[in-house]
Amino acid sequence: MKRTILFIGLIILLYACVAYSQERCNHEGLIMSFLQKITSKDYIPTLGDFNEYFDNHSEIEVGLRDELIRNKPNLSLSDDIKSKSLAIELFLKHKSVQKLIAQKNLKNSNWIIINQYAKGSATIVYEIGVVGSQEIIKMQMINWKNKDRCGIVDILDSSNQSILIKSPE
Amino acid sequence: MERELSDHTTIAGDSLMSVGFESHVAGSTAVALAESEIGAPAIGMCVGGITNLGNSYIRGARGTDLLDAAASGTLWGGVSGFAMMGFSEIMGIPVNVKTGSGLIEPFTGRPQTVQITLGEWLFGTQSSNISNIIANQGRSNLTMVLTIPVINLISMPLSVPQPMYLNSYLDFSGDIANYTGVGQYVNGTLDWFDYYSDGSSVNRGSWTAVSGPWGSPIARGRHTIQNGQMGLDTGIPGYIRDGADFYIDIFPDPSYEIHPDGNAFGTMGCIGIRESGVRSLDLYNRIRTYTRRYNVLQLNVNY
Repeated sequence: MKRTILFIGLIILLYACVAYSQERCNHEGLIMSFLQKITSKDYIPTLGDFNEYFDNHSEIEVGLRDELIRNKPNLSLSDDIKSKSLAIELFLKHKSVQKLIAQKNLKNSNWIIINQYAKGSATIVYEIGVVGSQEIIKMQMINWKNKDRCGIVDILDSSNQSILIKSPE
Repeated sequence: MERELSDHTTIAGDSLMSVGFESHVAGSTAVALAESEIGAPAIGMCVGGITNLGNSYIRGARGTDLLDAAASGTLWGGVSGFAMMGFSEIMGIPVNVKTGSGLIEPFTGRPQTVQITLGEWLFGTQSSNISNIIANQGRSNLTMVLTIPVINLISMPLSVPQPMYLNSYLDFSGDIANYTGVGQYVNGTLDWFDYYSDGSSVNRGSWTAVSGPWGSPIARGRHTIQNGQMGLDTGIPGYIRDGADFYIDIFPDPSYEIHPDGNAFGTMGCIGIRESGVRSLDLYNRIRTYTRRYNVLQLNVNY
């Protein structure tokens, strides 16, 4: 009897571990938390928020900073987590995002996930909108089995053009 | 001269007496070989080629090495055969025997000569049939004997077995460079080497690659790439360059990968390949093929 209980307990523990690992990267929760935070009143985009919500292998922020430094050699940027995140700032300036934020604030609507689909073998794209608006944006999330990575990989507009990454010339 | 020598050969039953022909005695094996003309080199080529092929196989040669050995044996066997032809002529000169019949040629006024075969010269005209058979057989045997591989082995160098392919490995090497305002990165190449049994390594491909500066470059030392721990089409912008999109985990720490250097210049520490899509995918396919067969590919990092 004791042996049976022990065996069942181990099985349950195994499934719990599996369930926990799958929930370590909660895409929907991460997306909603991100959108709620950055669209709150008087929000200031910070590097700390970028590090929290974006994939830790993401080159988006470093790429934008690098481009800025190349164009303004005398400028120096801090690595402090309270320093400005160029990626989030760029996201907030995009016309589609501004339309959605305006709609949300006007009608006190909520962000909604409209659709999701795989892009490549390691990412999932979530189509995001606001109740009552036709505008959408797409958030590409890392979804890589066996890799300890979680977060935003890229943000796209409705025509699948990256809002954060320049297309190669 | 060669035609004259061949005309001097007679077979049992032929007339021993002939008017107007210079007589020679096939008294030497050299003359017999010369009478064979093409036979000697042809037999030499066949025997030399087959025997050298067998010798090389026993010594461990395989594939195109065997073809090289066979061709070499064929060539030298033929050369030996031709050489023996010339040698036989030289040998034949002092043993040519001419005999006169005592008669005078009707048109030239010169003393008439007769043609005597080897057998006749050795055993007398009465036993010419048997003699000729023996002589002819002896001539054939001597042709064989004088073009056997012993000659080939003496006259040409032994073929050296080619070194055997053992395995392949990757080498990421380069120089530490400064990325202004950011930090250090490794600017180098990823090279594919084939390693052989004689200790030599042959470079079979080189790809421009970087590690860093957005994170610490991959650690120096030995790493491995393992079968199945890679894939195409990640969809991640930083992994896509010129249409090539893949990742290859590096062990013991698979948070480091080999992938095309997409998006911004450099990587978070991974080895970023900065080549065309075609070349990058060529690298991926080589690694994938190798690890499928051999399970593990070694990666050495030096900078």
